[in-house]
Amino acid sequence: MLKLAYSYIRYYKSQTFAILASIILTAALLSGISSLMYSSRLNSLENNKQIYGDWHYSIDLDADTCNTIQIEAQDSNYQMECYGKKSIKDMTAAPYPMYFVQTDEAYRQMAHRQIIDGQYPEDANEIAADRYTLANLSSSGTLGEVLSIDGQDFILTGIVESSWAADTDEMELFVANSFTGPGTRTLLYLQFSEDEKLYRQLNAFLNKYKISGDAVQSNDEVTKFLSGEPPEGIYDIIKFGLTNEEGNFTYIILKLQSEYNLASYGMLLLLCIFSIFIIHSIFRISVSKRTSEYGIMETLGISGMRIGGTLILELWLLFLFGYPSGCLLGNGILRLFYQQLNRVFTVKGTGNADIRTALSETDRIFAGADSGNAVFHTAWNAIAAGFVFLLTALAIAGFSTVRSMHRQSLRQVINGDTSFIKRRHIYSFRNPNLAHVIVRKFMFPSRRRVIGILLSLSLGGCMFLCSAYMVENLKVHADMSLKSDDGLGSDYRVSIKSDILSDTIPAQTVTEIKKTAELSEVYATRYTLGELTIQKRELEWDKYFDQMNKSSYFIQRFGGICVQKEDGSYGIKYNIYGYDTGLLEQLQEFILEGSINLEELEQGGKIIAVANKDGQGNYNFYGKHPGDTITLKVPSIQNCLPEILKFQSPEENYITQEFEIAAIVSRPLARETSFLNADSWSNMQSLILPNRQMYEQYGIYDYSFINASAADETDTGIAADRLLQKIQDVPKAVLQDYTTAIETQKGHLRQQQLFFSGIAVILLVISLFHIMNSMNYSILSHQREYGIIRAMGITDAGFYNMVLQMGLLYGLLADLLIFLLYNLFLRRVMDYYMIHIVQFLHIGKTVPREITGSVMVLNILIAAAAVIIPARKIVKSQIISEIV
Amino acid sequence: MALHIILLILLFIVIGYSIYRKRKTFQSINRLLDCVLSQEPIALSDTKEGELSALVSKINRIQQVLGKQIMQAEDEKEQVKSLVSNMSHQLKTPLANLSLYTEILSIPQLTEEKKADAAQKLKRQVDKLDWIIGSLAKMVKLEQNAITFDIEPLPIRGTILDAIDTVYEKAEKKHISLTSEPYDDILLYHNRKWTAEVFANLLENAVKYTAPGGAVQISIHPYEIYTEIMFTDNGCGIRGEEIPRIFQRFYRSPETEQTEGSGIGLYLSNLILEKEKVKSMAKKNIRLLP
Amino acid sequence: MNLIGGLDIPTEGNIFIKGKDISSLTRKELTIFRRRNIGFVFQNYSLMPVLNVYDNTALPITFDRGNHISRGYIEELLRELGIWDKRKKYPNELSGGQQQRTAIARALANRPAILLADEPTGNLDSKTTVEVIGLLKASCRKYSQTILMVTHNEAIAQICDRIIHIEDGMISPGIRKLSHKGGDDRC
Repeated sequence: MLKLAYSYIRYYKSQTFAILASIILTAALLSGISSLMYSSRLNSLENNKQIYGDWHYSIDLDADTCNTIQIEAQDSNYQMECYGKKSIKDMTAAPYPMYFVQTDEAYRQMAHRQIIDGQYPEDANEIAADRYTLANLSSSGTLGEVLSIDGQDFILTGIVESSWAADTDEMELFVANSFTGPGTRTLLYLQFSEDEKLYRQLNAFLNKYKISGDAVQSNDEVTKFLSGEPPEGIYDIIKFGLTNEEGNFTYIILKLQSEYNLASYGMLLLLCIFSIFIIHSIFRISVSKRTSEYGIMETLGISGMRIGGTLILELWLLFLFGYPSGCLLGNGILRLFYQQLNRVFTVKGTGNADIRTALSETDRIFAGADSGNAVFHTAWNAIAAGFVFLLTALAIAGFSTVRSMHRQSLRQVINGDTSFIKRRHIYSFRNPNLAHVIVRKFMFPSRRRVIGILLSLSLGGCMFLCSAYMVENLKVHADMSLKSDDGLGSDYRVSIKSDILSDTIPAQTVTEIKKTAELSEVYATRYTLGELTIQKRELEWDKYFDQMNKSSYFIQRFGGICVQKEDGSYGIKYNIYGYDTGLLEQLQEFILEGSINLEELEQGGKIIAVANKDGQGNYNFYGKHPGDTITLKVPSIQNCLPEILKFQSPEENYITQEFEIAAIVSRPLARETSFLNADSWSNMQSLILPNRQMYEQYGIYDYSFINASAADETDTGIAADRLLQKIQDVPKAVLQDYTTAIETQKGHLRQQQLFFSGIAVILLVISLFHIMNSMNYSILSHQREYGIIRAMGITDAGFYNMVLQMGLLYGLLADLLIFLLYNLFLRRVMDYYMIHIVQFLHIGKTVPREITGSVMVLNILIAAAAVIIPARKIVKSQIISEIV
Repeated sequence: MALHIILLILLFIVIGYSIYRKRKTFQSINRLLDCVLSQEPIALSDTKEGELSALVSKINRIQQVLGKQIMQAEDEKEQVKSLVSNMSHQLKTPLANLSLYTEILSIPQLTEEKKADAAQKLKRQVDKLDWIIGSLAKMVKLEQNAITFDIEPLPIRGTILDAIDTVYEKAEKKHISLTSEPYDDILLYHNRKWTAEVFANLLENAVKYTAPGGAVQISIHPYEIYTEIMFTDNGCGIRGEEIPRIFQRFYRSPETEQTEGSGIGLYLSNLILEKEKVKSMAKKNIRLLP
Repeated sequence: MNLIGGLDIPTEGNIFIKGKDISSLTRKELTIFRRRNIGFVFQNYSLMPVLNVYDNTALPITFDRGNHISRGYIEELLRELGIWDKRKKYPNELSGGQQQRTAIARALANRPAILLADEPTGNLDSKTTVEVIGLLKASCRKYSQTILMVTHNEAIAQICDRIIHIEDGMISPGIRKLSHKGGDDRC
């Protein structure tokens, strides 16, 4: 049997080649993508560890327990790599919020806060800090310098590695153990072994030492890769999604994605199915060529099982050869090009982490290595899983082919293919060209075959278009999120590190900055806090604010985000931004409803509202639309007491006004970080007015943020320095440099584009094999009949003509199918995916006409080539050899 | 507006061009047919794609067929000429004999014996004349399809015996033996009277051209789709080159100049046989082999 | 037969049809010549499985663009061969004899000048054979065609106007029988 299989493989060379090529390419794709994803995961993990620290969990203990506890590193249920302690001894608010912390070596190692210069403080008046903190303290950073903080003097003995976390509200000053302070909060940091699931180890640890889970905080960015929390069961997710009124389809998808990484596995599964379809189809063709031989074999007495076995053996032989080669090919190429592709599958959430929040050049040099040296890991698990899956699938494919052979009686099988439609219709009455009819009947035999060929012809084109669509919108989304998240559209951002409304950047400074030659696109934003009054019935998403209302931060500072008043209405705290015309124009891209008309806005009485967004990408602004009015309450003076911010003081402290909504947008552009967007909250509610209105209505003249970019052809370092100079005199002003982050982000985007386009091309190539094969078979199987027609007098040119017409017809039909599929079905699916799941900010950017046009033309060309090549073979051979 | 004008101009150009093409096609076909009329060879190629070439090919064939028919007509004209001359030649002798014998009979001193002898010879000549003219008449009528006769499945033995009856005397006189192999009396599609005449003709030829003391043999072989009836003699035979011509009108081999004959016997037989074949719509063939 | 039909190229020598040397024609011209002047009856019928009997018969006529299909003639042909009532059936629904008759009808449909037939009555019973041979002869007379038949059956051979024996690839100068009336004397 083995010999038979092997000889078949050698005889039907072109089929073998097609199947082998498909297997190799598929294997390369599968293993490549899974390795990429795996590597990305691992690299993201490493990255996050760099940024957020190696530790997994931190437990809040009181001092006594902390001292008495005896931590055992090894246990039957868990294995601890490392543990360390950090005690917060004191805090100072001036000039910035800073914490005095006591740490042990283990902690510093885990948190990447080791001493890089000098030594750790030993006396009570010695201190160590990182460069960022030192810069904000206006220190030069020389060892031995005396710093005056909160009235006390400290000697700088050591310089600590800078923190990479975005959380710059936590500036730490490292003190010696002998430092005494009022603070009693101690945190125990744990790092478990990563070979086992973390949450199991944590539970074991907590059980052992009788510590409650409430005190535990996890280093989410790291533990999410390592099963920091037990995953919800799939069954539960689906059940919740289907039965609970809050759950719906999007919920199921999102949950599956976050817990089980649905997107990547889904993609792999789709790839597998696609490749199996192709291989099955090619194989079917090669088998149908030999059905008559098999029929004869069966007549001679070889059982169907053995024949099926031979077929499956053939497939498996090819597979065993093709799969490892494909994996080798895919992984090999990716290994070579990994540096160019390492950011394709970035795990969501690392966007923020790439921002260097330190000063432009200086600290980066001191801080150490870039995160650019990612390592390529091969995903052995995925490769093995793919192997098993494909092996079984191929076996099933082989079986189904054999079974389909059995459906015909043996005699039919021997006689060959009679699968055309029989119509009791005399064609010669109407059609003057019967030869044409013959070719048409040969090439469009039965509906099933035609649809099969059309599907495969259109599949490649569809996928290409889909990926192009995705990439186009990805570009726009990335562009826009760069702009809207943290104002990343600009190279630089100046903000005030203070939670008092009256700390502002003077207008004079802003004017000067705007005049600076090295800077361009300077936008300044004014800011205040306000309260929006909403009637009870208008609050459609009543559970939206539940989580926020529980936050102690909001209650402490603002009396709660969404507060119910005596008359039943709700007061919701809002950020109020004042934008320049430039920023307002940029806002146009984010409009959901209404329009932004600068002149109308400048005249007053109108406001732009930012809609609330839920986890599934739906937007809502309390059922209000452009044209409706809202009531807004704002503190009358900026220089007010913090109590005023709770909006519970008497009315004369506030200015209450009604505004008409001019437009509803999806995001604000600038973002404050000291009021509502603090303490782990972000993307809080905002309303937007033109700067002039902020002045006219509320008398706010000074600015809270400045966004600026380097002018063309200016060195970014020089521009940054210029800016720094200008804000030097402004107290509490902080500069953030995003240039490198922006570059990196753009680089990622390019990678993703390249990658997805590459994948689309490879898929196109695979489907190409299938098309070639089908057409080849479709024509060559009727070689004899074509020979007869030629003997009866069809010239070569006439023959080519007929066959080409059929090929072109196929191409056109496939184009039509692509067009219909893409516009009616695939785009909807992708829109849904992009809005609700990946939550792009803006969709609807269509694939440029050139690409669609070229895909269509390419399809036709492929169809034409696929018929011409076998036609040439027929024409070249002697008529006699064909007939006999 | 400009677009409309351009479209209109295009339309006119298209119409003008199609009229021109039609004219040209008409002219080329006209020329072709002229060639046929004047019997000139056609210069256009008939092995090109296109309607014109197909027409040329067909017209070529028509030309050939016409040419053949013309040739055949000329041949027949020649044949008629030779028939007439032959005719006059054939008739001359009996007519001369007739006038001779009539003259003899008109001699008053003729003895009764001589008178009877002359009368007999006269009668023979008249018979001969009668036969010749009768055969001619039959031939003409058959050619013009004026005679129809029935064809039925009849036993063949009777027909053959009929034929033998007519020839028996002559064979006896020349001492030629007339034998036949034993055969079944099978049913064949034929007309008894006419087929008997055909057989008689063949047998007469056999007897005529065989030396005295010779033998004539009749054999019948049934095959799957036809039955073969063969008449063999050991006479002077027919030369190979003459075989196609023996069935032609008035053909007489140069070797038979000594013997009497008009050259229309075989031709007539063939006519009759073909009639039977044609009428029978190829249900059965009767074949003759020399 | 393949050489005469232009399907094969002679290794040496020339072939002249109607005074034309067909090896001097280009491939395309040869094909067109074949289309217009030669009809084929193959030994294994070689019908188009996707067309019914009527269309198979009309097939060669449609090769020349604009050629008019004479329905009356085709009907007459099919009736004479006895397959008129099967005209809408497909070849795989017919018996061997019926398929062969369809092939013969197809060859005669275009009234070609030369008909090349390879064992045209091989699969037919005696009655049908007689009919077919009669039809061939009648057509030949009527349209001045030349029918070249290859057969192993002596009986059929006798019906023809002229017999050429080929033994071991060489024409053997054996018995020659020429026509009773008419026919070309020239070899």
